[in-house]
Amino acid sequence: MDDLRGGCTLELGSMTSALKAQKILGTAAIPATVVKTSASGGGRGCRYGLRFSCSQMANVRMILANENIRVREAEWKDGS
Amino acid sequence: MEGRELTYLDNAATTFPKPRRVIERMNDLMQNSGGNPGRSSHVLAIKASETVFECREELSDFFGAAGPEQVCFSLNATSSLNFCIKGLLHRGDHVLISDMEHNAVLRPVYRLWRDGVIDYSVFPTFVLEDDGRKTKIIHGILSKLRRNTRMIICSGASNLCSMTMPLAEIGELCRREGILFVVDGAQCAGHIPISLEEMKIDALCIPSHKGLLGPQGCGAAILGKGVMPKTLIEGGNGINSLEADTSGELPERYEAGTLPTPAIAGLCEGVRTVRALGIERIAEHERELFRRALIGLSQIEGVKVYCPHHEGSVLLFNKDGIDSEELCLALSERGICTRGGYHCSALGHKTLGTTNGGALRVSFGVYNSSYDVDKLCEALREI
Repeated sequence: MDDLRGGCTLELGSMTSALKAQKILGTAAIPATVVKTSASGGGRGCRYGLRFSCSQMANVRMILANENIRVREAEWKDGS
Repeated sequence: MEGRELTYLDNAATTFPKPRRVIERMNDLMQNSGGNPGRSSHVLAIKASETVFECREELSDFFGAAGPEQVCFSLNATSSLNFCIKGLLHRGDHVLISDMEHNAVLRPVYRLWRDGVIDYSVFPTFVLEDDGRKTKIIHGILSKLRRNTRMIICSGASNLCSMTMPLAEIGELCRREGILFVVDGAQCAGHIPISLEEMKIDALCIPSHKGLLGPQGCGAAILGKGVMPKTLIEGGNGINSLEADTSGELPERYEAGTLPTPAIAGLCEGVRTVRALGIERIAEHERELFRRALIGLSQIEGVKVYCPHHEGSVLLFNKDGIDSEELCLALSERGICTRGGYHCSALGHKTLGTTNGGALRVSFGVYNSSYDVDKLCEALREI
């Protein structure tokens, strides 16, 4: 299991989106972990996201945009 | 008599036996990783989510959908059809269905008509004819189109005989006319190649437990890009849990409540089995059994076969002087599983002229052999 503690998280619309994004990032050699992100989401409740190394943020955003995977605005560093 | 000693010829109702890999995968899942998909980030919940996603990918790829998010799981083909019919139609819409539709199509459409929501018409499939059906069907549809026709629904293959429908041609017509095209895939999924993209299908409704060789209790509505029915079932889906509205993206917005993960895992393996065997090879095997049965039945006095020109997995017939349910029982006493009566198809039996007593259906599957056909014919000679 990749140790991505201290990584960055992007919130996605669903578990299916998160798993699809994880697979696509995997093919680009960017390890990412699916996480549940209930604390975020503007008080709307449970969400899912991907946690990965912060150094890959620009790449991840670009790859997901190319694949039409919608990223919600929440983005934060673990622990912040 | 144990299942394995029986001659099972009721595969159109549900296929039996199931592939070993289907059983082993389900068994493994229930013994070793019983988490709830999309509900937590602990290891078993994520593993369950991955299992569900794996099946979405398999189905999306197998049926030429735009992506795994287009695969919405349900209980069976009937629940998928209800979801698409009631979720996509609006007040004042007109719908066309074929004259061979199963009650899974007729009844939800009839219910909307009875409630004054929609109007519907039935178009002919020319099932009793052999030549030129494609053109006749398209002309039949065109003659029944109205300005407010919003949807055409038809089965890819009949559950009464081995008739198939020209899906690509109907899909082309629908796309040209701006009409939604919904396909009941109960009898064609796993028997004939289907592609949402190539056939311009807006929604394909499939069961797990028939030609896809999976377990009962699971099905899917595979939606075309941009097709967004209203939700019919509201509840928890693991997303935006503090809101009263069942929200979320495809497919989770349509999947409130816990999914049947073991059944979905089994379906995934069933599809893989079909792919490994080859859908064309399966279809040819079923046609061979059909032809052998046809020859055998033609040598038995008093047997009338319906639509013998449509070769495939389903064969419908009657024997003079014996009610179809009695014939089914007599065959069962000889260890042969078939199905008599009306097969949940009021329209189909009306079209075939078999509403007085129905008919006996034998339906072949990938695990049947010529021995099964010979046993059926031998039993029918005795009865």
